[in-house]
Amino acid sequence: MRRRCNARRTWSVCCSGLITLAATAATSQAEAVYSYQIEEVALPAAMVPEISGVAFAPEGELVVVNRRGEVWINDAPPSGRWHRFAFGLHEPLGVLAVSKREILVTQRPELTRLTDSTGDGRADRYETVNDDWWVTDNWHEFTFGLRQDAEGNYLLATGLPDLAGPINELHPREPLNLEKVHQEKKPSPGRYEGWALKVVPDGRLTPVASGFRAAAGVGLSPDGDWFITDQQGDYIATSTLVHVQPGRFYGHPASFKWRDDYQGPVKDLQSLASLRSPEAVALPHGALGGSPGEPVWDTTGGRFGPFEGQVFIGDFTKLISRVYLEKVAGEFQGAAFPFIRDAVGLEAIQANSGKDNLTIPAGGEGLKHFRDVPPRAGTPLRPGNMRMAFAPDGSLYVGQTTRGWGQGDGLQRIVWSGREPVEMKTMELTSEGFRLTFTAPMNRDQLADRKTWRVSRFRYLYLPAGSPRVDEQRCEIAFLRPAEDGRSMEMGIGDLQPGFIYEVEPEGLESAEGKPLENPLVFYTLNRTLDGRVFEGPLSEPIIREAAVADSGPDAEAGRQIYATFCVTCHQPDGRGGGLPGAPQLAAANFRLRGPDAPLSKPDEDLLKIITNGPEGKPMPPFGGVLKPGQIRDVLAYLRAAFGGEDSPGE
Amino acid sequence: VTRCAYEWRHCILLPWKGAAREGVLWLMQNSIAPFLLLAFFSLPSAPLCADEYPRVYRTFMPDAGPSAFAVELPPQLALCYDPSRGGVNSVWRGGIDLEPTHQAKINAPAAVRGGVFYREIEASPWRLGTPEAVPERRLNGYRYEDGVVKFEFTLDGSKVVETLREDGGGLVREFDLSAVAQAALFRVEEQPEAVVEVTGATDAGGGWWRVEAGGAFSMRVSPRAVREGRP
Repeated sequence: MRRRCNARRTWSVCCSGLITLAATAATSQAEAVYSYQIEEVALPAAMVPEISGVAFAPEGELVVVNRRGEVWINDAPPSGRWHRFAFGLHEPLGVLAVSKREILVTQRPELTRLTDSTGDGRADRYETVNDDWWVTDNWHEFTFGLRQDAEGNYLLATGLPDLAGPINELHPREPLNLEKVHQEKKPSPGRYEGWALKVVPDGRLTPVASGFRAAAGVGLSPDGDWFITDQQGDYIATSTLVHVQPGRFYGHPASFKWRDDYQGPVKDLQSLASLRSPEAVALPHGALGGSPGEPVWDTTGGRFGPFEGQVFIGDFTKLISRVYLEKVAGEFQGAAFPFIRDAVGLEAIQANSGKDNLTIPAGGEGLKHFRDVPPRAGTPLRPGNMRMAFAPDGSLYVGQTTRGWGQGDGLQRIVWSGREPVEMKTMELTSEGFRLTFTAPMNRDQLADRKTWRVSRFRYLYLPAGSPRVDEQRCEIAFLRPAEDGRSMEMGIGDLQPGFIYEVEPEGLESAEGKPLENPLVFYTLNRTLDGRVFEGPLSEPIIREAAVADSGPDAEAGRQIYATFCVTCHQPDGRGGGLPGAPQLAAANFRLRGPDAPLSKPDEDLLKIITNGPEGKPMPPFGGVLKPGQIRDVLAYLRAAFGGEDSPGE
Repeated sequence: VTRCAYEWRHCILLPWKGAAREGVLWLMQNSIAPFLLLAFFSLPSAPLCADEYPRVYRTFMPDAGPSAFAVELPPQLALCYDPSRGGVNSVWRGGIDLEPTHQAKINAPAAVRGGVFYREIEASPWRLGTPEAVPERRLNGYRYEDGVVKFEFTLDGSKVVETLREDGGGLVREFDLSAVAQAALFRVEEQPEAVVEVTGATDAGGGWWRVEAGGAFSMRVSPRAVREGRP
């Protein structure tokens, strides 16, 4: 325990240093780089700012709900007057504003219509539209989202309870059903917990799809396609954006028993896996957050920049992602990009101990893929970005709530500056690889240079305990064919296979005008190839054995990426180390030194131990809990290749 | 800390009474006048439910079904209304503290602040037509109207309106069954700490009261101590 505490402390030192250094560097540059600015939306002092729902009424009024159960209306956002419309609701997590006198909300136990029948600005009628799903008062039993489709149906979703807290068995709403479908820890004791649900206009409930764990975000595309985000954990290896279709099962088995065709417990995981429909887009854990919220579509007609028609998804971490969807062989899949990221301290992420001070639900696996992002200049993005809505003026309102998982509640808006961002705009599947398009003309020489591109792929397994990335491989780039105008590029991939998430990370890529890509990272979820091929291998086992990976030897290029993520701030890009940010008396090792006492003069065995366990008496944290042994070997290979070779200048 | 937070809430809700307390709280927080602090807590507690309007909160309630209601009726009455059971589960003089329900990730039920004088044990106190016919009870919602709260529910699909109001320190429940096409039976339990009086229904024996089709009746629940003139 003491060792763990010490490790956390040293992480803390490193993290504060990382953040401080990065902040200093970023502040001067960021304003010149960012095309989107973050603004605070002032909230009334009487409102507890745990914003859990954001919507706009047809006349432009802003409507927000908070977890304290209130509904507030602002008559002229962002600076208009606020008044409280309703109160006393049970943790509403979704809101739909029909007008400023009629608002629908999802509470834990029901869908409710609030009506101001007297016109005094306060709801006097709280009408139960539907409460046919069961609740047990468990803390994790949230009811999420609210959208209305073209037929007038209300769309919502329910989450599963968590046995870290009690279930009300003494006074159940209906007799509880605690039968397990397949070894699940999170149960579905009440009917339709873990489901996507539809309430038709006359108030009847229609269960639509099952298999959700914590379906925190409900969204509707402009074409009427229903999507839900689900959150990583047991059976849901990474967070997802799911295209909801009637009768489908999306992975978490607890809710499966509420299907009409349920035949009893499913003993065989493979049978369960065969029933599961894949997500449209995976949001890789750690790299693209940990707990996604509400997906919203940019229908602003260009007032939010060049991403019309794309999906924006807030995350519990300081992240908003962007998703490009396409239909391939009749099913949605697509690419996920970071859109706005802000610095998150590693210490905060490491606080994920399952206790009530849980900060970022990233876990060890997520931490491994966490990218240290420099803090933004100006107003920072808060965590808890679970609810979003586009305003009539084209800005994106972001409601934030973090209760129990961190700190930082409120309401912010993202405003496009009008300056064209330098971003990868889309990533589409082709028969030979991918087509990337850009928001601005890019440097064609860089586009055509293989050194610019790092392309890899990996899978997640379908397992009760969740899954790390498996079957990770570098991808061979068969060809790079930039368009004449530098706005797009065909990328050929050798051995293009379905069932993998392809990660593309350009390095140093700039626009033709010399501006860097703002978010040089994208993940494409390749469920189906253009000719309809799908993955036919085992869904719960890796296809590349660990031994085979180990036999391939250390990968210095992979080590370079890890160095850039975890090591560079203290040891510097040139490996010279030196005083730590904020603690100059603590010097990081200089890998350029030569001689018997130089760091790299030690044998590999000693250096691997140092990286794994941390050096004695020095602030560097142990990386054994963060990196796999193979990755630590990769880092060492990079250190030797970059700083220890004969060509490297020793000092 | 909990009490401070609670009192602060009431300062906001009761601005005309809150100003003095706000000042005391400020002194308290700045730790410059401990004697005032002592005097503050020595003062008789202001009514916890002294707003002019009733308030309904859906929340985690102790000894109730999931997502029940806490109802505060001015000036000093509160109750738990459980839509998955008979309606009013318990009644007390005082108020409700919601702070335990939203302080952390895993929360506790709301805290009852005051002495409970009425507690309903029967989970299904309604019958329709015959003493054996337990109807399905579904919540339709509630509304604020003319300074009272009116809950609406259905018994086997027929609408019933239940009005809740405070009267003389006790609770009055008024039931409108004008949309119910059958005679109804309602069970009233013996209460050691409350006097329960029914008006408009016929005593059917065994604690059951009968109201004819389309009828209405009311039920007054008074603290026995108040009725008997005890403190």
